[in-house]
Amino acid sequence: MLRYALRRLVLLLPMAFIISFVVFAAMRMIPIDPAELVVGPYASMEQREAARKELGLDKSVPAQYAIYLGRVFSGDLGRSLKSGKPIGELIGATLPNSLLLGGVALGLAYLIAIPLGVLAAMKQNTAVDQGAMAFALLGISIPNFWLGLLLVLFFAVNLHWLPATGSGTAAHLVLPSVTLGLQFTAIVARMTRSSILEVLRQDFIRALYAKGLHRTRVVYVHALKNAIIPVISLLGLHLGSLVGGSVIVETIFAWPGMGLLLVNGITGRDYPVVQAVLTLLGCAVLVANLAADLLYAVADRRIKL
Amino acid sequence: MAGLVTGRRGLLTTAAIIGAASALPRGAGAQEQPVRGGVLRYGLAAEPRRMNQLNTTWMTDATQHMYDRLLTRAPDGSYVPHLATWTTSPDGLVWTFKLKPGIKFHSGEPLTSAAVKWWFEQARDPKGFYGFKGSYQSVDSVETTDELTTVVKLKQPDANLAFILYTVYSSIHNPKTYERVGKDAYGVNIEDGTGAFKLKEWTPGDKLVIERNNDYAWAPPIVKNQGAAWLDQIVYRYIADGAALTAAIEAGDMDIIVQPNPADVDRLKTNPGLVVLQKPMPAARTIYFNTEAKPWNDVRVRQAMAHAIQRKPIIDRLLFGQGLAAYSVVPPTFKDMYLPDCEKFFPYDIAKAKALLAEAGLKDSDGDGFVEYEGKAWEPEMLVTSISELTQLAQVVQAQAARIGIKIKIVQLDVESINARTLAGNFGVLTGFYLWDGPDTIIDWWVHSGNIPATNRARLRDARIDDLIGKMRSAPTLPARYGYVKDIQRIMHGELNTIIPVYHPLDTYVFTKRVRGYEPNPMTLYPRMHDVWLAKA
Repeated sequence: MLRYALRRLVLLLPMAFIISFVVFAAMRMIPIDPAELVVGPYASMEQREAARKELGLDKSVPAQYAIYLGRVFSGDLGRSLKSGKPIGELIGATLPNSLLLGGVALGLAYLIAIPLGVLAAMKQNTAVDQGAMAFALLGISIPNFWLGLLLVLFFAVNLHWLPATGSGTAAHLVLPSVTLGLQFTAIVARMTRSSILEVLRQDFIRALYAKGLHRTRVVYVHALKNAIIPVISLLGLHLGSLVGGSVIVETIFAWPGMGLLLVNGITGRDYPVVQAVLTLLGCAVLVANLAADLLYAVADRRIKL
Repeated sequence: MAGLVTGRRGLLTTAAIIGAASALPRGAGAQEQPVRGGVLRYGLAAEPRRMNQLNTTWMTDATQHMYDRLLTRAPDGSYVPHLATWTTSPDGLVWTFKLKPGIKFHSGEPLTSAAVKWWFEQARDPKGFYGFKGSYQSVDSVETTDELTTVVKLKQPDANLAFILYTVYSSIHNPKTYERVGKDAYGVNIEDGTGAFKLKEWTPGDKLVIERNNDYAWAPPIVKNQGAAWLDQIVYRYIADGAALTAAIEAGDMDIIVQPNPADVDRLKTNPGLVVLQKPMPAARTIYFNTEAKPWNDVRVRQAMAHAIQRKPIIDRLLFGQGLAAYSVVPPTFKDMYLPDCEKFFPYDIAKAKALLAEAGLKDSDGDGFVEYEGKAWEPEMLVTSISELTQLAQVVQAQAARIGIKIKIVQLDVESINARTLAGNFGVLTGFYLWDGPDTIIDWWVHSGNIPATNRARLRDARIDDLIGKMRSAPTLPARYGYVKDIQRIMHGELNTIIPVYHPLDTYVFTKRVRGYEPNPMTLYPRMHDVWLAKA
């Protein structure tokens, strides 16, 4: 397993290079003129040229990429064109916020979804099952930008129970994490239900009942342990969309995370920031997929890596 | 607040604006004693940028309060002393600035004439790319004669030097701190200005916090509070999403928000806990033409378009009433330089527009309702960015142009592509805008032939305009300058129509009733914070 993990880690490196190059090339395909940002709309042609030169945009694209890589390896991600802050500092400030929001959303999703899925499976074809699955269908169908606004309208603007935007306290975390996590909760609940139902039909379950085990123990300990693998693989599959969702949710709630950093970078044409954040997010998805693969082996001893 | 708006055609809007202002909380007048303390939570619709004018051309509200300028502009448009008093020689060629004694930077070091000289040198640095270098081109030499006195000699008279010196882009900094931390880091984590507030912390995407400078005793004469500010801190938060920005003040997360979605303004006005204040923005939304592209090079075609534009439906439907009809690039609030005749030059007149097109050889000969150019179907492109306000404007203009038989094709592009195409002169029509509190300098940048293609993207070459702008630049007094500005408007908007102004948007400020002393000025970009205080909840 350790050898497998190491081999996968080594394979991540070329992948990371490819991501960084694709992102870099994509950024250069936009006819970037930082002049508007640095010298403004009222500057002369000489001033524009001077700004381009200072930002190194007068060099060829491969040369720019080489300089960029060299800087990245010496730990310098450059500065934001807009705020002037070092990009490393910006990521350092926003990454923990994104991890916190994503972690809470994921935690909430699993905490709610797994018991809900199990319950629906145990009470298959009853009102409880149908209710749980109706909730799941609703959860999958509601777009998060709309849900976020509805929650704000209800809990922040009308009831004044929770803040509408910002960060700093646990109360600030409630609405964004529910908004971000709901869709995933719904997906996990449905997957847990169908996976449990499938496992419950297998021979070893019948054997467990024959042994005289109580139903609760059979389902929660033995069936769930076997049913959990596809639920874990969901994490790997959906991490990308979770990251995508965080971009929207962070914008709606002005949550100071990497998603908001990316959006502000895009709208402000702050291409060094966009470049760094996209590359990092791409690499994060790679690492998360690796983590999900490794988790299989932990969850199911039959899988030998 | 009365007299905020002087636009003739904006009477209805004027009433609405004053009506909103009169909804200020009772007791907001003179009898109430301001109290010190409190944190003002300020929601911005534009993201703060680095706070160093040598490195950016978009200065954040906070820069107005962290830094001071040599002089400032009073609400009536006149220039008054701030850090310095000044005299101008009779020939207008020598400006002598004398700093008020006892002014200190935030680091504690005294402000001396060396910092003033240093600033002029930075602004004029031939290698630098300070965005407003052109506004300093009349300066010949800068010398200090003692600790407090700076003598600026000009190559030619330039009354408008006062304007650039008043803007936040001529803020005075401590050269020692600036040189120590360098151009890239100054105004990011460190500043050393003389303003009423100091930088406390800035986390982009989260918040920008400034705190009171307790030593402050050099406020400009136009504010009531001549000492340190009332507020302890101002916390700026940038909320990109318009709905979220509005929700933030309705939920009580903010004390002030600026520029909520126009569609939300009417609802916010009915909220008993909030005050909505609106003022014309020193800005204009325009349509403009490439005067080198056929057939827009024919003045009659542009004049026809001017006759086809109906401004009222645009303001009522698109802006929900939150705008003033624009007939000149200069907003009517700048009454010293505004030419009221502009309102009469090209009234809405379909028949006249069609006649002008016919004269220029554009006729509908195949009966499809649209004119042909040189015998072929003509579908001119109009470039527009994805900013929804401008795309909607483009759609209305498209519909209005169709009434005179011009079939406009809207081409939506990203800012970069539009920038590249307009710089190269590869366009016909464009929806454009500016936001700048010197509309006379906008005219200079937009239509002087020397500014092709950098800022004169209409590529206008007109000898009369160039001559008038030359005179305007070297006018010895502001009234003389503004006289030329009016002459230029007469040619620009009365005849050439390279730029058709459509509306001046309104700045909308929404604040809770705890906020007192907040009085935005229609002639400046940023409200002053010296007199703002928070009443106990």
